[in-house]
Amino acid sequence: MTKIKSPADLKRIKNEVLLRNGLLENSNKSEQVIQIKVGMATCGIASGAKEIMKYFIEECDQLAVDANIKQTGCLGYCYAEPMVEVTVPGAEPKVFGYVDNKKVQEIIEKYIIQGEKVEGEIPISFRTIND
Amino acid sequence: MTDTKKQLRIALRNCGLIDPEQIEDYIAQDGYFALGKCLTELTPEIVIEEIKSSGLRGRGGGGFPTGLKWEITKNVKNEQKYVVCNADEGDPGAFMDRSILEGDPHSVLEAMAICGYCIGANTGIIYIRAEYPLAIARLKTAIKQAEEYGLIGDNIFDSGFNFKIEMRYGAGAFVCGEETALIHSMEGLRGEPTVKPPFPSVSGYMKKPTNVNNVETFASVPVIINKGASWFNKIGTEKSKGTKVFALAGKINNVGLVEVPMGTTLREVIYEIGGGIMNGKEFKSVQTGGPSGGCLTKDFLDTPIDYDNLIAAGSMMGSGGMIVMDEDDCMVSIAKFYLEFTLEESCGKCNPCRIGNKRLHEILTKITEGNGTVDDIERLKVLSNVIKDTSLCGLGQSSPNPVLSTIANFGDEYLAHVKDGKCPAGQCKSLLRYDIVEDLCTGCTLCFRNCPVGAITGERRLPHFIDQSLCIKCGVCFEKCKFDAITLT
Amino acid sequence: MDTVNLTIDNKTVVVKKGTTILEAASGVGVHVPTLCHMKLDDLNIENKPGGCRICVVEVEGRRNLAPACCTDVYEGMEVSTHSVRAINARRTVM
Ligand SMILES: Cc1cc2nc3c(=O)[nH]c(=O)nc-3n(C[C@H](O)[C@H](O)[C@H](O)COP(=O)(O)O)c2cc1C
Ligand code: SF4
Ligand code: SF4
Ligand code: FES
Repeated sequence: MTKIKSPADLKRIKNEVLLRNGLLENSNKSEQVIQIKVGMATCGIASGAKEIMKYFIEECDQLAVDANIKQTGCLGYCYAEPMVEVTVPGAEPKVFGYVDNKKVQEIIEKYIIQGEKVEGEIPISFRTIND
Repeated sequence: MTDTKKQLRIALRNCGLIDPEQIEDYIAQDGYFALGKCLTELTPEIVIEEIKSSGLRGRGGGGFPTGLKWEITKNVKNEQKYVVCNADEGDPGAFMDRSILEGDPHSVLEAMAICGYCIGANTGIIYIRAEYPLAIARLKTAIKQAEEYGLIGDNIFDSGFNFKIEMRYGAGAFVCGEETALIHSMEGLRGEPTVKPPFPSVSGYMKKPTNVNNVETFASVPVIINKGASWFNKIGTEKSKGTKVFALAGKINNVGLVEVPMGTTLREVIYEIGGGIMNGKEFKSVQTGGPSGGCLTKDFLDTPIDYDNLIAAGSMMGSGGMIVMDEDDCMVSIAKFYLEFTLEESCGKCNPCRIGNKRLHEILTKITEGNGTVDDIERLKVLSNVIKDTSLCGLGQSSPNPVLSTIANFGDEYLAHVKDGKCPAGQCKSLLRYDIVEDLCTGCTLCFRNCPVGAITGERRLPHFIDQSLCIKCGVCFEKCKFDAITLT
Repeated sequence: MDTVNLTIDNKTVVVKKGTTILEAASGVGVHVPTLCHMKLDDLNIENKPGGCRICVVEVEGRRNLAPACCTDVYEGMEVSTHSVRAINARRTVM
């Protein structure tokens, strides 16, 4: 792997990642993909996040939904694990709690494909350092 | 739940956002930019000045100003120095450090390297409890990835600065979170504290100057460098800057991790973020600071949370555990619970803590069993103060806090135990009494058949009777009786 | 050699830097009880685990009591070896 030797190298990698995820300001909106993040800290895994992630991958595959499914850390809503965050291009990220296999289907079929509202959404109640 | 955006995530900024096993994800969130900036543009003095003026204080419990600690360690002359990250996290109920390490391990690595650059250390050591396998695995991955990119290792950013990071595993003893005990444990010695001074900054790991900081403290550092001290010190209160992560637990609806600016009130945390008390019950008390902290009453709900206010209120920040209690919790039992923990975890090196806490526990047990006297409460206070005064390390010095604060804030509950022989919350079993009301009893024999110890006697269709000397207060009869004929007092 | 000025029970004492309160006190004839502190001058062995806390004394401005056997003196320190607080603490520790 090439070593990072300057802040410019860092910026390059940053831009590559943002580009890959279609998150760069000027990137073409239509190229953006759906992002699905599954909370996989100890708390999430303990309540079954691994299976949920597997199920998401299988289902998205079956329903031909092109999504970028990733694991991530803890969002802090331990009471509602397992949790997933779904970002559909052009929309605000949505966080769903108490996710089980049924919910996964619902999220994919109803929310992602048809854009309908799905129960079990958790309002995000924090500001980030960029706000 | 009201979505008021009371939270502000600094230490947890990337948790739940990035994939912790992908260094590129971290870099995309400006990860390692702070390290790059420090190494290529700033001198150690300037970085320390920045941390100092940000007002960042240690999140491990003590609240010592971080910049000052770095400066002290920098100014001690030695060829070899160490940066230690305290990830022992022994507080029962606290798990913010684990979340940070699992969700954003690189932020800690980056900050340790920055610290190393400032104080002149080339080695960082993370002391983490072996009970955190996932955090350990993610840290290992993170260290490997950072090394591959040359962000840790030799000649980082072509600056000539070398820094490597190692890991040490602890066995999960609470006292090993105390910095001198932690260092002894790392050296392979017994995890017992020693007298300070010398402070680790002067003589720490292998007798070399060692800077010990908590996980959350480190996780805040890169943000300060990137966004500037003046951004950071606008958040919070006069003497406590930035944000603090709390682990909400107990009788609260939304159990979980929250990060709020210093100065947020307990009410906001408990009701607006935490969603209030479970089952609509009455709030009674909130315990902060873990076994070293105290129990606050509803009078303190509007106190802005910061280091100094919590201490003034008789509790402390600690590592950020926040346990909410409702009307069903007995404060004497709570104090006893924390002492049990302290007793387990005391290293036993010094007398007051080893024996004194045992005595405290005995007196509390006596009270919960209904054998306490008014004098016992006074004895608890005197003994507590001596333990605080004479113990060697922070564990003993703070262990009586739960006792003192519950006596101060819930004195009448102690009095009810010793004077009236009653536990207002109905928790102390020995103080309960089940009775059958003759007029209501139909003599159905249900309780008689269910009592596990045969304490109930009576003829069919005639009122039954509980023999108090046999009753073990299991409450089965109370639950079974269909006619509400059994009372609990 | 660096020296340090301090007072012990209102007596002014001048000792070498790095002296403990215990040593400084015995120099002016103030006795502080000890238990776990062991010093065998002949063998040049000193063991001070600071564990028994019998030797605690009150130091002006310090939050808690200080173990005399393993607390070094500093300039301007004001020590009371037999204040009520210290004696009570010692008695309870016993
Ligand atoms: C009994 C005891 C337990 C402690 N446990 C921890 C702990 O689990 N994690 C931690 O970071 N600090 C703990 N501390 C505080 C450390 O001694 C030390 O102050 C801290 O790691 C310094 O880092 P900071 O300045 O970043 O807070 C504990 C202190 C005491 C007295
Ligand atoms: S106060 Fe308790 S934990 Fe600390 S050194 Fe003394 S015995 Fe050990
Ligand atoms: S269960 Fe109730 S009604 Fe039946 S015998 Fe017992 S006390 Fe009486
Ligand atoms: S003599 Fe035991 S602590 Fe000083």
